[in-house]
Amino acid sequence: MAAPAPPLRVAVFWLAVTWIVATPALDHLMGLRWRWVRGWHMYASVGHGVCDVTYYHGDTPIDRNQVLHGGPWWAIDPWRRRVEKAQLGEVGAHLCRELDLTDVRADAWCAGGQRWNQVQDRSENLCEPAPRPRRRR
Amino acid sequence: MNELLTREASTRSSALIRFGIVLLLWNRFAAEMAPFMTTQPGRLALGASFFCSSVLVLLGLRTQLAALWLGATMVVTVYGFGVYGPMEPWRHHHAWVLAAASVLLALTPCGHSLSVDRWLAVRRARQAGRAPPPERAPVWGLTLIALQVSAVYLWSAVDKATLSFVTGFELERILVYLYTGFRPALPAQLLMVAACATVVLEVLLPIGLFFRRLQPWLVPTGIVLHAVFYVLLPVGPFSLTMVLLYLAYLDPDEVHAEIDALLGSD
Repeated sequence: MAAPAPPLRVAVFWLAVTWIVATPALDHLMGLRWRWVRGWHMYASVGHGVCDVTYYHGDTPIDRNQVLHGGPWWAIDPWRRRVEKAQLGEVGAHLCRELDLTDVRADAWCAGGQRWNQVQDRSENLCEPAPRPRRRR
Repeated sequence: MNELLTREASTRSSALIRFGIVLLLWNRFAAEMAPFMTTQPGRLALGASFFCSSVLVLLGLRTQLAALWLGATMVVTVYGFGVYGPMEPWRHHHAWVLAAASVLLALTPCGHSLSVDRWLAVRRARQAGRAPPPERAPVWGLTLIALQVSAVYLWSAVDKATLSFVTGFELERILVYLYTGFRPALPAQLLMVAACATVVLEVLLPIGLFFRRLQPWLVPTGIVLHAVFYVLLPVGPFSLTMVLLYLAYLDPDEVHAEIDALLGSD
């Protein structure tokens, strides 16, 4: 029979096992988002807010990649062709200027945590400047 | 349990992990640790500690002490400067896995093979007219490394066990963000199959990799999975770290024998 392991080794082993296995449980199972605890939420937030958007002039869809970047979608760098929620209005206004249009609308679905949410339904004319928020006195 | 904590085996797989970890650490951190990147005394001291300890670990000189030093440096890097400091990227999962592996490396006999320590030990034995000391030591630290890899997979699978992931929504979101810019990024059924396969693998790998009979199937499967992640997603050195740490699941004596066979010295 082998000699018993040194007590320090046993202690270090169980300490490490507890840290490795149990501390993520605080995050994943108990929802405790303490900074020193590491949960393994890999890639869980990548792409939040990215949108699947089509811009329209009347009922005619606009090829935004062609207009803004001078080529079909597959010829444009991926980071340039994606549109995020915060950019929807800006890209629409850009299209208005480039095409010299007065009415451009968007049908946009943006990624949330659980599903695609519709955030533009062609009801807003993106060529009109957004109303400024009123100043509070 | 006592058997696991006292079992002696070849130290070559620990040595291979040692090389790999230092190279991955340099790949990930060296540029940001260099003195031309900062004038802050804390960062300069961290950089000095990082380079000195990692060079000693790579060479295998005073390896056990140097590995402890490197592990402590990585804890300070990730926690002191990442989690509780301004270096946000240093708290990402790839940095954390590397830091954890560095700490656990100090618990393996990583300097007993392929190292300056080994070279000195062999020279001393020869001078004394003795046989070189065997490349064997307790390898319980490798079990901890394997457990760390399994924990990453399992908790990641728990995180993905949601309707939004298994229906393919989250994969599509990533593909739209990184690649297409529009939907559908791929057919819905394909996305669902890919998502479910990812979760199944993340449950299968952490358990199955401990079984020698399954390793010939699961090790190549895991390597392919990580190769796909590495090429298609900006995962940093995460994939390479995980593949390197697969060595911890393999029987160290078999790894030793394979190296001998490779060198024609068996």
